[in-house]
Amino acid sequence: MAKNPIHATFSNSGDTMPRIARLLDRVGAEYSLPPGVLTDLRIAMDEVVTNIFKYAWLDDAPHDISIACRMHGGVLETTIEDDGVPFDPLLAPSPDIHSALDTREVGGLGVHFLKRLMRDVAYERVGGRNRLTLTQELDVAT
Amino acid sequence: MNLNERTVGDVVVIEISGRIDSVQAPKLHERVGALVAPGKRILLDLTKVEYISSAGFRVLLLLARQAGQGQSRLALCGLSPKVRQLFDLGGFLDLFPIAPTQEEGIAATG
Repeated sequence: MAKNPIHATFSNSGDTMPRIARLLDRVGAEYSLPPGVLTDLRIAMDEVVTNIFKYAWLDDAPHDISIACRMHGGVLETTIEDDGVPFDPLLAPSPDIHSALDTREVGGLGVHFLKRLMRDVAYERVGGRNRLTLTQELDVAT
Repeated sequence: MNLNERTVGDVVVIEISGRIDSVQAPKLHERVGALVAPGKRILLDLTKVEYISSAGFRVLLLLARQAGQGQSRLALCGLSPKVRQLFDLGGFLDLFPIAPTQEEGIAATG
């Protein structure tokens, strides 16, 4: 059954994260997502949006994040766009996930989770905006 | 995320429920960090945790270090399959004492 795309735009002021969480509630319900797929998407979104807040906006001006989800053929595709400076999170170095407690660093862990939890993650710079596309398959849900 | 704190013998058990994400992780840091003191035994029960993002793992790392420096004992218990998968993906299974149940977790803080 075809499902309509779901999209929304969020400003960077106020409680952006909770508002994005509510959008994901809606995506999960309207697309009847398996719980594991929705959980992975929530984690991925936390990592992506945290990075945007940290690296994409270098001034105090108002900015926005656009999120769009669409389902086709058992695949959920989520795009996240921001109007910040060019920033490709996939270029972040992989974290050392084997070092001891005292020397362990968590830089890069978010992108590591992103790559491992999604089937595919792609970055593009389009029309002066960063666009990250996350792909998940619904039938491999855990 | 909700934190429910109770004391079992001389162990402080914090039952965490919900999502440990970038919004909630600082609250966990503040609440558990304030408990660290010499000889203190702290168990974080993750049975009702839905997921932990990298922001949450960062806080767990900082708390474990703080506990070590403050001569506290910190252990975790009750990892659901999803939460265990995240610990595994991030290479965190070997960094903390992790027990299956709260009872065993309490023993692990000894």
